[in-house]
Amino acid sequence: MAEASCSGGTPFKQFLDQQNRDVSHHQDRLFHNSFSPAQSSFRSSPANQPAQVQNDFGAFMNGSSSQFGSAPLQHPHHAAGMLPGHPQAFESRWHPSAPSPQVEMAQQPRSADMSNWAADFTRFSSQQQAPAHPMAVNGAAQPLAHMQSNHQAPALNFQSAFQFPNAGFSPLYGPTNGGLMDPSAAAAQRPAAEADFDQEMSRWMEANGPASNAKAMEDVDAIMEQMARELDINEGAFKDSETATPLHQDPRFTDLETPEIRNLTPDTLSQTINNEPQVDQVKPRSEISEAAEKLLDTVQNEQGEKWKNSVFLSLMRDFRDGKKDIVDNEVQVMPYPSAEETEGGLCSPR
Amino acid sequence: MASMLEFRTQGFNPYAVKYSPYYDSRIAVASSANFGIVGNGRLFALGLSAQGIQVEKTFDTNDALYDLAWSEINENQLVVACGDGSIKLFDLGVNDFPVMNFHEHKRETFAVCWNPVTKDSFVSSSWDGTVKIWSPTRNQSITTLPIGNCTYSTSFCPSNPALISAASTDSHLRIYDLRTPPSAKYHLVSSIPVHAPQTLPGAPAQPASAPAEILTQDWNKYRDTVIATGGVDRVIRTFDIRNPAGGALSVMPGHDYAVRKLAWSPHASDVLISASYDMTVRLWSDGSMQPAMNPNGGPSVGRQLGVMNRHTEFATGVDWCLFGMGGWVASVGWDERVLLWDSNMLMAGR
Repeated sequence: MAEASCSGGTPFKQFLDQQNRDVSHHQDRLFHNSFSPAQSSFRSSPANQPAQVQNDFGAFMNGSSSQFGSAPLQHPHHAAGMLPGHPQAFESRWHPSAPSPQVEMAQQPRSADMSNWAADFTRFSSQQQAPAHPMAVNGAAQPLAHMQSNHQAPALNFQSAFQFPNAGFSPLYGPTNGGLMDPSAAAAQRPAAEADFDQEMSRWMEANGPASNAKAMEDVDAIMEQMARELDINEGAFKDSETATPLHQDPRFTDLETPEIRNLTPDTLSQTINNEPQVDQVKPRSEISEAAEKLLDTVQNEQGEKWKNSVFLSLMRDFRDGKKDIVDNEVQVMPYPSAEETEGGLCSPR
Repeated sequence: MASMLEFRTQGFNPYAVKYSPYYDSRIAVASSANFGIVGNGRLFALGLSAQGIQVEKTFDTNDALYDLAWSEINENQLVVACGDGSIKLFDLGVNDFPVMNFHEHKRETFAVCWNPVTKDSFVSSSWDGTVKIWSPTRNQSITTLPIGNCTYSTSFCPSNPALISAASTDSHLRIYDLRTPPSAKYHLVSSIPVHAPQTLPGAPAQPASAPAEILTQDWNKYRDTVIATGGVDRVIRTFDIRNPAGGALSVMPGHDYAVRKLAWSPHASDVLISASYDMTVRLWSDGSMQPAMNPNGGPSVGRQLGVMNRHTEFATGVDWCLFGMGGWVASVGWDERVLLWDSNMLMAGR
């Protein structure tokens, strides 16, 4: 009896007691699984995750990590990014028949980038990689079904961190792809790959190397001379048109009241600025003004003393009438337009 | 009307008031400058003394304050919901600055509630469409519950620490059970369409009302499956969460404008109090203590026990005192006033 109510007398018995203890009540704890990344609320994975992880790793080993490179880095505990609007959206996200969002991302064609040196190498390596690694995706050309048959599981997020431009043959990371590829297979591929690489590199240097740069520099002088000639021609044509058609007759460039820029003096400049507020007249009302108007419309039938004396409603009236506005995160009094300004069409604050 | 204790929150418009769960003489008020439209916030910690209501401490914040909750585990601490999306934990023993800052919500945090059972966590809801559960000891949220639209109110069940309710703009009252696996519906166990037509077997269908935003909700303190809601449609309704499709148990029409805040009495199972944009605070009985009056099986119509009409601006917050004989309430409004009064005077004719 004493033994049942007290803890075990030996460390081994304590260990057995610990093992035999019923821990099912722990599952009812409030935050029973909130701290476990595998079960955390927003990025929890399907139940068969271990097998998928193995598939992912196999896919990665097969050099297809670049397939998943376009998948955005996702934050496992961040809620806001998971809010398309309704819980149903979240249900379908993990429905067994629903395709993985990351697979969908990988299925989207990737536009070929022809703009730089690295892209040339990527293209080259993809062309070389395709026959050697049937499972590897050649960018946009890879069929969708292939992807689905081999990579149903979502990609592991860490793969985006290992986004090599050409996983199998990268000269930067070595033929073993940073040690992740089988060394024997890599050794077998190395001679052919290096020969192709040298050939492609020499071709590229031919097109973009120092020789082509020198030729390009020679061409620059000729281009500059041609541009100067075209500029002279254009200036001459503009002067001819200016003398033939006076500017004040062209309504697109000026009007009678607006002086030309070269004739502006400080007086005419200020006059011009004073005429500008024509734009302010059509300036849309502020958001707070419109909201205040709607609110006041709602309570317009209230005649009680409380409603008449309400400070809040008074503020709303000021917002509606433009007497107050929110400027720089403060409620500010806007000056009243004077009679002369109103007659002159000036409604903007001074 | 009975005498009242009054305090002025000069320059700040109160949004919420809460009695301390530890002291009958301590009250906190969350307030905002410029009616919460723009500007700072101020938290008032008030004490009742023989000289009336006096300030114990104030804390200023950079943004408006919309709600507050006293800590259930530390009598000197409380959290406030800020307009910048943050939640701040203040300690009355520490001047000026919060002791913790929790900032994950992307938009205004509009409600906070401390877990009254386990006392080790609190919950917040925001206009960003999420409800978050926090521990006061860590900056990152423990769990995020997706709602999908503005959530004005959230609270823990007073008897079960795993149940959380949330009221939002889509006219739904949602119930989350943290004991359920998160993978199903992110703990969502019930979604009650507040304005849906009532469907009862063998009874004529009740007409639906137009969907409207739900601004406030509260758990009954005695019947732990009953929740009351109030909102833009001006009607207070009670629901049994065990029967989500069953419609309202009772309805309490009477407010002239939206119901901004309601709270069940801690002393009577059928009494609740509400604050409204019609500038009144009203006391209600939901009729649950009376025999069923509606032969068709529809919702019973609650009874208005009294109206407190002293506020001269929108009444925004109300709370019951937990101590004493019961019946003392605190109400706040945008008239910069905190009023403490005995609701027993209104219930005299009950």
